[in-house]
Amino acid sequence: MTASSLTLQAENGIDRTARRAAFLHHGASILLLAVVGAVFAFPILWAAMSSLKSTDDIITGTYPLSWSSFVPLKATLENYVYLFSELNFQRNLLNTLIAACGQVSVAVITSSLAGYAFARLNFPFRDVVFGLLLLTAFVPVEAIIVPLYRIMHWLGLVSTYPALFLPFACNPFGIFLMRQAFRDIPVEMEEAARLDGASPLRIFFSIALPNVRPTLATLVLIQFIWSWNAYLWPLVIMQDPNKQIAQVAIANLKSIPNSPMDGPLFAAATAVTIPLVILSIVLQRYYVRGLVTSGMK
Amino acid sequence: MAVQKDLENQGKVSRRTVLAGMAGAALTGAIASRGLVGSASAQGSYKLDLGGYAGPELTSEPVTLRFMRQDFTPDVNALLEAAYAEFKAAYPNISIVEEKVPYGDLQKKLLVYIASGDAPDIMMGRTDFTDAYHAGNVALPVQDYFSADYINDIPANLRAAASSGGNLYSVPWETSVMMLYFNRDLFEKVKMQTPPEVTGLDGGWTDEELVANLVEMNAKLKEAGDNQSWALAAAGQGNGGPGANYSQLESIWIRSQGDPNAAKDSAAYKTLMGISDDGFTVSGHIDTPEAIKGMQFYQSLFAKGLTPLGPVPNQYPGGLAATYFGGLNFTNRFRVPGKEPPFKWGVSLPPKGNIVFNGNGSDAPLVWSKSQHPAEAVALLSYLCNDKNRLAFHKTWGSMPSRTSLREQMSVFATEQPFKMAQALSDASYSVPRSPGYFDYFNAMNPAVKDIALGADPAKVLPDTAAKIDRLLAKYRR
Repeated sequence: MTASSLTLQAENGIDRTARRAAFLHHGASILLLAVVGAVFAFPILWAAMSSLKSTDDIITGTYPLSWSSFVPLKATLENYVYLFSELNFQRNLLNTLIAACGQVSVAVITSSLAGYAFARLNFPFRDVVFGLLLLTAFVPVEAIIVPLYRIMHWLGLVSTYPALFLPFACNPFGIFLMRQAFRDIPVEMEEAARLDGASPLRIFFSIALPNVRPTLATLVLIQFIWSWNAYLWPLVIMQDPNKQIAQVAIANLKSIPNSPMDGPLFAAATAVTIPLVILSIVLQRYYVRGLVTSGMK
Repeated sequence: MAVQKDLENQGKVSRRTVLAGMAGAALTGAIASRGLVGSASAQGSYKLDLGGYAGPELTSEPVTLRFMRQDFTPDVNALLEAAYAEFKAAYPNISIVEEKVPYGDLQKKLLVYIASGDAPDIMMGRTDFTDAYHAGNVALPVQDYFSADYINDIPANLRAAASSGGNLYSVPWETSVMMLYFNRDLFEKVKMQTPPEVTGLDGGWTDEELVANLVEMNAKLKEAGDNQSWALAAAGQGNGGPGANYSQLESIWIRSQGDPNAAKDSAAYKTLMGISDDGFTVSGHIDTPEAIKGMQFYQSLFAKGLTPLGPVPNQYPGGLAATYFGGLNFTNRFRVPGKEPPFKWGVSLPPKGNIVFNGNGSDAPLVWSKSQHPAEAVALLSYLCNDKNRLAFHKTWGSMPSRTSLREQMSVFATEQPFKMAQALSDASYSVPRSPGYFDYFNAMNPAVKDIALGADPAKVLPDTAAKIDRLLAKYRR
């Protein structure tokens, strides 16, 4: 056996060991992620499975826990039929979608414009204003709900769709996120555009915005989730049952004492979760990249 | 003295019932002497049956009335919508805009509306907060708009619960009773006597008997190899489990140790009342030896493993508990063909301490004090509370009517044990401790009760909680 073959054999041995280590590491990572994923997915899947059971089956099968607590032995769609025929839940879902789209739209516009201004434009007290803006992120909505309501009342917007999202048009988190993203764009790109005679608005739309698309996707996803899950403000500001959002409608199902509506409740919870899950899967790549590029991670 | 006479006729005269009757009569007298009770002769000139309404004729101007209430089941919602349609047909100029709010958020939303100065004309409140409605100028005194007959039809103790400072601030929509339900099949299975099915306030289990029987039940269930069923189901009120709802449920354990016939400065009397006469001090009321004893009984249910330490939804209706504390709704629900539980059932009294205690805090719509259309708002409320609408509501929803004449029109209250017992409990019921700060009181007691259930010493928790509530109530003195 020559020295070179011995070296090759040794290298092969090291290579195999490294490959085995990498395989084990990869396998362990997958296993760990699968377990974590299952933990997070479990309540959603349980709700989805329970939505296929009658209310009586849910009541009798919840305790003690057994297979029948999770698996619908007599699967039925009666809860969905009831939800979408008797309770007109599709109307609540549509209202939630309108509110979420409204909030995403205004938040994307205001956050990107304000974020760009704080990142790139020079104006007096810029950093002070930015600091004050960030401070508002620490004021919970519960603390300002009465003045917010009065403003909406004064504007004549109580019980309208815009009232659901207008108070959140100026979003400190969104502005911070976009500011960080705009700051990561090389200044030279904008200077080149400026030398070519581009106006600040042109630079914003043609140079800056296209370079922060992942962060914009992150902003869209976060704003959509916030709006989709909002409860207290819609509860307070919306009086018209036909314009009420899904989350409040679900709470109504839970709050009817002595008349359990667990089946429709799980069906509604499932129906309201599905769009979020789809959106998260579609946008998750952008979401992670957006957080990385904006310095949030 | 009509109420007192009614109570005497039922053959259940005690010092407590007489005092309650006198209090009601005094309230009615005070209202009448101020010339506030509407004239019954005004009735009959309206375009439809407005129940006890005896106020001015309704406007012919266009009016929109807002009504905020909790959501009910679709069949009950349909009843209300049909009633609105009938009202609108009679008064086409009056529109009704309804807002349905999750039950647990009703008071929160009411407070936001009041603080914002833009509240609905009618809001579903609770008699628990009558003094707060009075102190905060939230509700309109409504006795001006009702006939004396209608007001007298509300039992004195419920009328007192809805009144403050001599004014009636809300109209009791229903009333609350808490009964001990049991699963007859489980008692038969372990060959134990079921709790006494009585029709009055005598003959039920005492605290000691309840705990002893549940201990025996627990042991026998385990002997029989049944490790799934519990002796007592987790509370289903509020968020469920221990500390679920002090007003409706856990106060039974403390306040039943009190004595209405004891001297006013005695610990026994103060334990029953739960607060000082001025409504600002609970020390010496919820931390008495009697109160501590009551909470020790309550704690033993958890310490002995008789009931779960956390919420378990629908345990009793699912057939997995021998007993459960629940309202009359369960009786009505279990009697609907096709909706019967998977076991034979019965009801008994809640456990007796020194007395059998029942709290009557319940839903009660009120008219906003700044409503632009007070007469129309009260008329609509009164219309919703007329005999036809109320009977339809109670038959569908299953709750306990708050008016004597309604119970008389429902034959079950004269013939069937659960209903007779519920009526006896209601007649002897007490309001929540009277304070403009009851919301704070309630919010402090629930976690204290939960701590006790989970093992904290009642002799320490109750005085600490009393001191905390005293501090919270101090702000209402201003």
